[in-house]
Amino acid sequence: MSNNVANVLTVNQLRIYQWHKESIVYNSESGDMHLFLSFNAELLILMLKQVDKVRIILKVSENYQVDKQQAELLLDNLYLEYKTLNLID
Amino acid sequence: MLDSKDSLKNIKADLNYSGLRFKTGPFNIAVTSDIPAVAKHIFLFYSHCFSKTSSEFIDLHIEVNSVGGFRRFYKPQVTFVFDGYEPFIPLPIEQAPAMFEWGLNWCIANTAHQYLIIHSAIVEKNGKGLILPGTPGSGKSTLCAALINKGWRLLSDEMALLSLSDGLVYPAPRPVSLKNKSIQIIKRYAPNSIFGDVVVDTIKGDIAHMQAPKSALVKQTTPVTPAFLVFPHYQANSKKQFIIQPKSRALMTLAEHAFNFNVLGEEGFECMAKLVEQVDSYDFTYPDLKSALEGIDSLV
Repeated sequence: MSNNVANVLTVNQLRIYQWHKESIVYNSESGDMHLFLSFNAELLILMLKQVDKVRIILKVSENYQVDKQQAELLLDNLYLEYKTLNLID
Repeated sequence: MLDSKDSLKNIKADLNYSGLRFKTGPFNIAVTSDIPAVAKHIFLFYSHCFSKTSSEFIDLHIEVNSVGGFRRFYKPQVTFVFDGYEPFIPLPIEQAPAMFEWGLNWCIANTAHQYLIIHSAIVEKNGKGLILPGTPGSGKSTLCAALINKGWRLLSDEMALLSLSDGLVYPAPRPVSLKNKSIQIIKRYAPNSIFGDVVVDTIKGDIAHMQAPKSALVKQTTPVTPAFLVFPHYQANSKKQFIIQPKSRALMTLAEHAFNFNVLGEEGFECMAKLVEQVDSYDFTYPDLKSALEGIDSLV
């Protein structure tokens, strides 16, 4: 992914523009727009695609250099945040 | 274009009875008014674009009239009516020309949803469109007024009309609205510019309008490709500085400046995202007009 050209994708009702560091998520149902770190937007995509939680925990653990327990906690918090923002069911 | 029939007297008569038609960019407008100051304002700033045919579709029907009744004898007021609806409370009659301009802005922002409408000045040089979104006090109108006196073409000092269909920005060149200290700054900077009367003590302070240059009016149907998105920040005693704005941040900030983003929904978002992808975005801090103009000129 280049710094200047976005990777653009649609998952469910979300339109996602991913740049190098940050991403914009647009919810076409609510009309809300969100700014996330691109890594967190990637996690959102994985959650939406219902990728196995163990695999996502591993990814978080590698990215943030934390153990799997901490990674799971981070992921759970992120899941709750996305749920609050109506980005995932 | 202006001809000998377009005397102030005739304009007053048209405004009072049949309504006066003019064109600004893509919009055909019909206005009626019984207020001499509005006639003078229209004569000064819109004579170049009166419609000579009555067959064209009218986009906006506007009335700017004095409020009737007993009140007119001790505290005369002006009211703005759009398609039979009054979007604003009446204002003192001295503010009628400013109310006409504000009302026209409101009508365009609330009806022209074939465009994503960004609250910004928009100018062009060498085929490159420069969008200057700005919060009040950022200096966007002052910068715009100075730039158009320095070879840039005015598309608008108030709103960028970004077409949803082709991504180009369409002009609607009208008088540039200047406030408070900016009025004297631009009068000094461009002494040959033509200004209307200063309207004092409005909700925005003192207001004066500056005539749009003829070069802008000649090209009022020629759109431009946006090339730069510059968020100006006037800051006394600062250092002139361009900071590249990440596209993600530019998109978030731009959404705050779009009048009809919520109305357009996904179509508006896509249009805005494509704009951000296409342009170079900067935060631009400047301490004075001279350095601001040098900085912006350096972009092209």
